[in-house]
Amino acid sequence: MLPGACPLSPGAARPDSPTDHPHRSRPSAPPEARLPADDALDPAALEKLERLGGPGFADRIVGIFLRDAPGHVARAEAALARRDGAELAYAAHALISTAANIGATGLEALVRQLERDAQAGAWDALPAQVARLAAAHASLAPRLAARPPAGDA
Amino acid sequence: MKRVAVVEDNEDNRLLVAAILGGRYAVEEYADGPAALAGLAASPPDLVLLDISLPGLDGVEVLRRLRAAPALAHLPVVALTAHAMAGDRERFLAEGFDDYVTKPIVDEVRLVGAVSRLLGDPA
Repeated sequence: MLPGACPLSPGAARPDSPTDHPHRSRPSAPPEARLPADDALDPAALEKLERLGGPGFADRIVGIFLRDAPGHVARAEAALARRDGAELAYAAHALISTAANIGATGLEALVRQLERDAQAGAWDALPAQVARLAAAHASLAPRLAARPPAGDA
Repeated sequence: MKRVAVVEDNEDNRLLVAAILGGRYAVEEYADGPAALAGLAASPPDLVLLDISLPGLDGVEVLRRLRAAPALAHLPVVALTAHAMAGDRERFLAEGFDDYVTKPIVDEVRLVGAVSRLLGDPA
């Protein structure tokens, strides 16, 4: 288990996580209230992976996320720094189904929007979105790494 | 056992396809377009699942090259895409795909249905 990590359990998603973009935590933000927090996790997704692929399959898929996601986040940050919209869109795209497969619903929504905005060249919005991407990943990765083996919950 | 090739750069999606189809079909995996074109030409499968957003040679270009190759032109090809925008189905069919399945592949019934329909197998 990584230092400081907390195990994932049903209900462990933190919709008001302080690592999330803070404006969503305010009670006075009703237009976004229905969106998942950037670091939300849906435990049902991992349970479905186990059903589809058998024991240990969710761990394999989570392992791929933990292995590959840091590179995608770093690519997004580097692309933002040099204002490379195509590369930024590709880095975001690479995370869409990877996030969705593990039930990272907020991250999936975020990178879908990031891909669209990068393709559109919405440079005013992109720095904040990439910062949210990094924060969401920083919250998700230790929780996923510390999750108990599937079937133990 | 019929053979299904999946061309997809995300390893987790390849594993997911193999998990869903593995009991029914022999699943062969390719991570990029050039490797797929070489492998499919050497040993054509019965059906291809082809990611649209491959790095370098994208799925639409891979499809064009398959359709231009006499030995491969007849292969049923299903697009895999993370996009589900209005009009996408018509666009992919117009490109020459036989069907398309959206990612994430949360609906295994949809994937099995598309593959079995094109191969004439019971769903």
